[in-house]
Amino acid sequence: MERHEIQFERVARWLDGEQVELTPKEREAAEDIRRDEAALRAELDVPVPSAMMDRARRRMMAELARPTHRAVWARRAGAALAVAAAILLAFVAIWQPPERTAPTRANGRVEVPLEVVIEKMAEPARNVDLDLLAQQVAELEADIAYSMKVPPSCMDLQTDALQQEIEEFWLEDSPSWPLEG
Amino acid sequence: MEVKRLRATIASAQGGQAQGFEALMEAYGPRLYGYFYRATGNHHDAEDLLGEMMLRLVRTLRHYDDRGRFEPWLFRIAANMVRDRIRRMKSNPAAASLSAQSESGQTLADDVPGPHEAVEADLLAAEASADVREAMEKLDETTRQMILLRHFGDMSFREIAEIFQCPLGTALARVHRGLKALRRVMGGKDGKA
Repeated sequence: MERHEIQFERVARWLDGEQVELTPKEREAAEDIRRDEAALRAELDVPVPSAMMDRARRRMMAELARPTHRAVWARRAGAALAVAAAILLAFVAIWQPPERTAPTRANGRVEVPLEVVIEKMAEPARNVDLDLLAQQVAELEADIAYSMKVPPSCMDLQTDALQQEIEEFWLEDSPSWPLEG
Repeated sequence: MEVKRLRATIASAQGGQAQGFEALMEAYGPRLYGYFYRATGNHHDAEDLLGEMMLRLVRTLRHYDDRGRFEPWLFRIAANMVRDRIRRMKSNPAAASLSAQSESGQTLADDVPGPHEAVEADLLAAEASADVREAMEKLDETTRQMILLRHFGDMSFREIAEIFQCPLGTALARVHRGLKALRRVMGGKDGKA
């Protein structure tokens, strides 16, 4: 059986036009098949009436003329895009930007135009704190100069004397060391 | 059709040109019709299948890869259509074929007005080999298809083995046995019964 299968395969390859060395028996089988096929050829062919061919042709041409699904969808997508573009163009043509006005308060926030902020930032910086400090330093210097020119007041002298008495009291009446008890 | 011209024709049809399809129809229509007729055994189914085949050709030709042979590609589609049709005929004989007979012996085709009757009469008159049809019907489905595809589709044994998914030797053995059986039924025309 397996031998037959291999032989059949060799014959088939030979009949398909491959270069195969056949044994005389295989060659005979191959020629037999060729002869049978040739004899059958004339018997199998069928005359085809032209009317039948015409009908098949018309069916084919109708199919050719019918737009494909892809073409239909492409056409629809193209139309939709064109409409969208037209609407966008009309909107751009009609729309005008709003005029610039003073800052307005909206939702509790003051809206300042960006241009104003940029102008303010461009001005040279003024340090108010530094000015105030310089003024205070100048006032202090004037006070010191005045106090050095004027003699000490009566109150000041009394205060100094009292301070001296307190210091002396403590030095004289303080207990000796070690504490006796 | 020679290879160069066939390529140009296929390219033309793939580009959607009606002339390309017309040329393919001229070249392969009669062979396809013959194949359908011998495979189904009646002209109505053959004509219907031919029309359907042409529609499929229009829809699927763009998928054809020019590196392969055109005929096996074409007849592979045809073979699939025949297989589907036969399957349908077996599952629902009355609905599948115009020539299927009712209890009264009438066929659907008898009720269809138009040129069918004349065509059928012409064809039946033209067909001198009714015994071939009878002999073909005695073959099993696979063997019959193999012999028909060898003849109408000009297929090699290797291509037939691929379609029927069988070893190369098996394809040849079936064709060989089928041819012998046909010769026997047809009366052993060359004297080898």
